[in-house]
Amino acid sequence: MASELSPWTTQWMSLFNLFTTIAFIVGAVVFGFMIFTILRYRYKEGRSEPSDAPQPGTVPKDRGKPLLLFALSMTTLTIISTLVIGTFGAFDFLLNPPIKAPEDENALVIEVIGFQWNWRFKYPNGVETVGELVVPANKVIIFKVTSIDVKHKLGIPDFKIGVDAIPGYDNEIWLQPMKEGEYWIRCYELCGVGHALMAAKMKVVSESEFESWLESMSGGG
Amino acid sequence: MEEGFSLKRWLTTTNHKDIGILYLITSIYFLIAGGILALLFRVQLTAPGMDFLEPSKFNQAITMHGLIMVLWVVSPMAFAFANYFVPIQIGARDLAFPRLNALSYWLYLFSGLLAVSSFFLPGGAPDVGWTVYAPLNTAKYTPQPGMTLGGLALLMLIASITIGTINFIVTIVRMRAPGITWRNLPMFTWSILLTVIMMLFAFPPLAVGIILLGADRILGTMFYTSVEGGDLLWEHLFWFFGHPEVYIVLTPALGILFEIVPTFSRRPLYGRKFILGALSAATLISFLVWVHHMFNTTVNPIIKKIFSASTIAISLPFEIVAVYLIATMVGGAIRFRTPMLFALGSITLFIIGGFSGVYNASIALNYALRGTYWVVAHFHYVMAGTVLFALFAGLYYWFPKMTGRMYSEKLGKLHFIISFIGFNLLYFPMHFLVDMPRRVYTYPADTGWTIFNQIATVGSFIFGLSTLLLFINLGRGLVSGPVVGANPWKGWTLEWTIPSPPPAHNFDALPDMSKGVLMFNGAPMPPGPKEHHTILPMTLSLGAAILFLGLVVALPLALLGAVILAVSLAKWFKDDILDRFAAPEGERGERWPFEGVGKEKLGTWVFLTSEIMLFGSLISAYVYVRTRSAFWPPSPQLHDLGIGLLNTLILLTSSLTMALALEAIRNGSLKDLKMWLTATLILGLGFLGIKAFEWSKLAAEGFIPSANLPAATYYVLTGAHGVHVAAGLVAILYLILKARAGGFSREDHSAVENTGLYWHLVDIVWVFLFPLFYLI
Ligand code: HEM
Ligand SMILES: [Cu+2]
Ligand SMILES: [Cu+2]
Repeated sequence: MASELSPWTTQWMSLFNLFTTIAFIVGAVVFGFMIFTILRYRYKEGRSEPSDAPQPGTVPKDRGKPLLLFALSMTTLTIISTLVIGTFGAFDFLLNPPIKAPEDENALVIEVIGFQWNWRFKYPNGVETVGELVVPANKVIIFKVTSIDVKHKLGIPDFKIGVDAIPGYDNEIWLQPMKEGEYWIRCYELCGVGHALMAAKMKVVSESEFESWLESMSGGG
Repeated sequence: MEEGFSLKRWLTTTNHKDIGILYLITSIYFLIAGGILALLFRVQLTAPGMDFLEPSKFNQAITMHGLIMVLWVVSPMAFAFANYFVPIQIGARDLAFPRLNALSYWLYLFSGLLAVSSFFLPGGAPDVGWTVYAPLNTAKYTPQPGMTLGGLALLMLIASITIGTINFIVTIVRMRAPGITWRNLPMFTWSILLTVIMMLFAFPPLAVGIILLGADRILGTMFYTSVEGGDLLWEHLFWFFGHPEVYIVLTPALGILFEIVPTFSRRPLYGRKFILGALSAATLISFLVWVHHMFNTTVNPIIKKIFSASTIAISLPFEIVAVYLIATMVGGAIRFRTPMLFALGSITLFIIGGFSGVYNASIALNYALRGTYWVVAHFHYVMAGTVLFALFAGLYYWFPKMTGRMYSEKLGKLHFIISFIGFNLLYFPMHFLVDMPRRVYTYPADTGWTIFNQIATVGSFIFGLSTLLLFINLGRGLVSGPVVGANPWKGWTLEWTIPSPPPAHNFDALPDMSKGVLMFNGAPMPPGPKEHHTILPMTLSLGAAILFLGLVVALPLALLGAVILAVSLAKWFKDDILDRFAAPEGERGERWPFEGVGKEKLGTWVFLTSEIMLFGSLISAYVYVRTRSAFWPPSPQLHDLGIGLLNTLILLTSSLTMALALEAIRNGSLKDLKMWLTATLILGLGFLGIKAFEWSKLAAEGFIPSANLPAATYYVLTGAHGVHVAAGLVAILYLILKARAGGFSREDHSAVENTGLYWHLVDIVWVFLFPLFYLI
């Protein structure tokens, strides 16, 4: 797909749509049942009390057939399995970046360091930026996310991806941005008074633009 | 007993219905406080770049809003009803331990006031979110004393909850009237039982999380600033509590629905047994899903998968609950009175919140959901929606019972309609803010978030102000509502068979439901205690609050608090020695599976369970940081095995003398009892003395708590154990005093036995600590 943001984003969106479709179907059934029941069995003038109506000081009769339980459990388990399978599929996708090794020429490893209150990005050749990330389109970008003070969460909302930045840990996530443009990176974990302003720009540019940008950065020192 | 509105009555009451009312009023007070905070930050979020609350104030507002609502509003409001109605529903006169119940209440009140007062300290209230993540929660990043005070307030609340837990478990197990079998037990009481069981296991880990945080903040240890502990240690402790906590909040609300829906649709609850099965399953699973709050952390992917599946699966029991509630109405003659409307609203919001929960549970979707307004929408649908609507339903439902007067149905319906609309305006748009980070005090204008925020803010004011209708309605009803009879709704449970409002003693004779219908066979109610009033629960809690406040703001104040606390405790002991509040258990109904276990002993067992959870969590935290440390010197290099062995020997001997003390009184010898108790006391003091010597020696060598993690864990764990030894010694001192007053006999010595159980547990804990700190 030419218009896709990234393979992961496509996966996420279709999984989200699967959940939403199921939610709508189940919701329609359950709310339909509820509305029907409320309307059908509302008290009207002349409607007599059910014979087993609760009476003061009397233990109500036990009722309810295992059949409903069985039917309900089976349908739900089917639905749950669908959701779990879809989820695991997407999750496995994210665990296995489409590269052979981090040194793979199609990959770019970027260290991301959260701090109060911005993001620092370290490129393999030593270039460092703060508040601005430039990456080439179509490459697999591996983020190694950490923090030097409190917990943060690196989130790139347009791409539907994000991961915690935890002091002392490298949290890995990858992304293969396909579309050039400017996107927001934000912090999604409360990290102090500056949390709301802890945003950075992610620029996805063409491979050649990226090369010359990196060149200029390292040249400029 | 004293009636009317005398201040003295309310300060000294131990009656469960009075305490229920106190809980209710207090929780409404905190609801208003938490609600005002919410309106403040909703104003700030009306438009990008608003300047209404500065960032720090904003963070304080959201943090205290969350903490207050979760811990000081929804649960206590449910326990207002539990206090009032559980004893009546089981045909009892009161809870098992009325004075402890009063203590629960006063600890709750003062802990809440303490938490709120942190706003007035320099630097203000906690401002780190209700989840209090590490290391933001440590002194380096949040130095304000308000954070420490908040932690102490939470510990006080946990004490209140633990005491309440013991009380409700013992009451529900042992005080049911004949015929109120587990099968016949009303669903609301069932839900409270499940709730307190969760509380029992969930709160000790939180207490440990806070104790470690307190050590970091006060003693300078590094549990949460180090990499070995840090964020993940906190998250495991917090969410092991936090997830069950959300069910702790939910379950009583469902219990209310199980009462109201059948009553107003005039049909018995559908599939009662299955519902109970589903809820019990959920209670269990609630302890097995906590990692779903940590899906974005570095936790192992396989574990994440397991927790993702278990979390998605937990929607099954809740689906059963929702569908069965609806199925209950089939074939009924549904009357849409205000409680029923709120109940239906609650079910509706429950289903919506359940859906978004399943999205969150997907470990894949969660990458983009965690930390956003989507999650805010989710948990408000369940917590603020399902739960609060059910609580309001309960309030309208039981109001005529508690006051003997009816509210205005018209105003009630208006309240429902407006609050339901307001609620959905407030929270539904947040589903569309799936890209907006939560807990931000402002947001950029170019994101398209403004409109949804504005709708939410409008909704928040509609929802918030609609509550005024509730207050007006109930206030007017209280003063001039039409007088109602015993059973305006034709409910079946026992509270509807006694007058509105119920008399102080509830029932004139012991109810009997053995035949499935209420009968009075002439058996009298088991007698209550001679006294129903004591100021001590109040002064004790006040002392604790002043002590904690003093610790944070001014030490002389702490001293004053300690004195009040000590005097109250001493007087409490004196009351006990004089048996002023003793109440024989008397004959009642089924007590399975604890027939042979007296109420004090059962209470002790429950308490010991929470102690086991406490030390289990402490030891887990120790193992966690130790196994994550690259270097940890073997214990023999750090600690003197000789001293450790000596202390182990002393403590084990003291277990023996304690057992001999029990044996002595079983043989009727007060003299031997006193002797063996004194021996235990001396051994315990010896243990503490040696411990103090050992500590000072280590400290002199530079092995102080802030030195490193081996030192920190050593002082915190052995310190926690030492505090338990000291508390045990206070209890033994009390036993000695009571024995000297001739307070024990061959037949009547349960306090000796129960203190013994506690003492043995404390010794067993040492048996676990000894190898950890001296051998390996
Ligand atoms: C179908 C049932 C439910 C499922 C599957 C579910 C699942 C989840 C998941 C996975 C999260 C973590 C979201 C995240 O931060 O990434 C979450 C958050 C939360 N849930 Fe639920 N939930 C359910 C029902 C409930 C109920 C009944 C309550 C309370 C009455 C509740 C209260 C909360 C709260 C308070 C949070 C947010 C905690 C925070 O980060 O501040 N949930 N839920
Ligand atoms: Cu942040
Ligand atoms: Cu949870």
